Amino acid sequence: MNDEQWVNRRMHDLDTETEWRPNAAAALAGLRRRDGRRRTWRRGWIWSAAMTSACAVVLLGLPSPAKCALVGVGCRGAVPASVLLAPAVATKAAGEPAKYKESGSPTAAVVLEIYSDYECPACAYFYTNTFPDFVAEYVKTGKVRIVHRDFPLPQHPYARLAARYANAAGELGHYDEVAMQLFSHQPEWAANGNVDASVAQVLAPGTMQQVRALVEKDPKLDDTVVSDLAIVTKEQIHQTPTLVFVYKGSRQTIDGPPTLTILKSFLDQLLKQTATTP
Amino acid sequence: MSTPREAIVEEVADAALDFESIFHSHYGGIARAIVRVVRDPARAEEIAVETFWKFWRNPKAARSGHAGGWLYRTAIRMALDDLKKEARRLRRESTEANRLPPQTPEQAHSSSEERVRVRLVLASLDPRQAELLLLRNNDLSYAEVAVALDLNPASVGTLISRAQQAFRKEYVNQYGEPDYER
Repeated sequence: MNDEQWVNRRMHDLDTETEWRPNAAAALAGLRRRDGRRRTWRRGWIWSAAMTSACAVVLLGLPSPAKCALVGVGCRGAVPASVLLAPAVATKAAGEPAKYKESGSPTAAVVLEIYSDYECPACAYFYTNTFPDFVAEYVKTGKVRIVHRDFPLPQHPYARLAARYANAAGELGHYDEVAMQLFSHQPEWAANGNVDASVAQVLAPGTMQQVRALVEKDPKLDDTVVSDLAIVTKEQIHQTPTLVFVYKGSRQTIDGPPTLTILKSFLDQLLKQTATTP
Repeated sequence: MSTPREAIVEEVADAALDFESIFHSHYGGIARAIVRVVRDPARAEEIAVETFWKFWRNPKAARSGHAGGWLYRTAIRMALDDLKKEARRLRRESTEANRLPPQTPEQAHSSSEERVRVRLVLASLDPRQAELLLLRNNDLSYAEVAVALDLNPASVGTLISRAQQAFRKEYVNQYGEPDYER
């Protein structure tokens, strides 16, 4: 018997159990179900991938210490070690703000501490868009007292200088207009560090001269900044703007710039709560 | 003239129709080819479905014009892979079969042990030679075998002949010449 016949005879043995009939209909139905599952899985996968990508975009867009340009999120940072290690030169007790940084009724039920950086875009957005309406509705009506706190972030090279100008103007009774000028014209002076020219636009020449003198020579001008940064460290505040609502000994924090709607909703609830509880 | 959207819908419908016609033409043959190798009909159907699933996911194969060859080749390869996974168990069964008393030619011919031996030899052959023998055993012509395995049609006969020699040699090495062949 030659190889072909011999092998065919062996291979023929494999045919002896092939009376069985494959179920093509069941197989085709199974394939269709599998294809349906694959399509469902694929849609789910695409959706998940899209969501992951969106999250990644948002996370990548979060401001880092080196860059913070997202107006809706805010700037993150920490107090420089040099500030923390500096001798306590503050003339005021830590936590006690300079008078010019406060506004509103001293008897207001809620105190709002605003930690901000003059070079932070989100702070500029908050101060120029939300803050004026908020002041009109809550501060001037005596419901809320405001305390401005300086939190110049280390990644902003001109933030500390801007704070010096604002505080110097504050010593002379012009804090609010200089602070608002710095926030509303932030892109101009932040581009080249010419804070002086920006501040000069809202002050009389004589007052501006006094401000310059204070900025250049007053060694105590930064005391309020150092004092504010001590609170930043103590309260573990990591970004600007941060809004801290103080009422009846409690503190509640909002990170980032809230919209006026959210701010109003939060404050109305808080004021109702403080009015009903003894 | 159809719009692009209509053209896409038609194309998809054609593809689905083609797949179904190919499925109905080949499924039975493919499943039977697989069961020769793997023995278990349920497992054979699973592999057959997996083969068609690969075919469905591989538009190039569907458009090649040699769907049958592609399907048989893929099915046989998957079946041989499955067989190799079972080889250890088959060898154990084969060893037990060798301890059985000598059988009459009729008994031996019809026994399942003989099928186990054939499968075991196929599993130990060079995969290409096993594929050649199995495709030929499934009544594919030389031309069809050449297309399925991407071979020169002129050399298929020679390659099959060598595969048969290798199979016989391996079988005899493992189990000796069957008594009824002597």
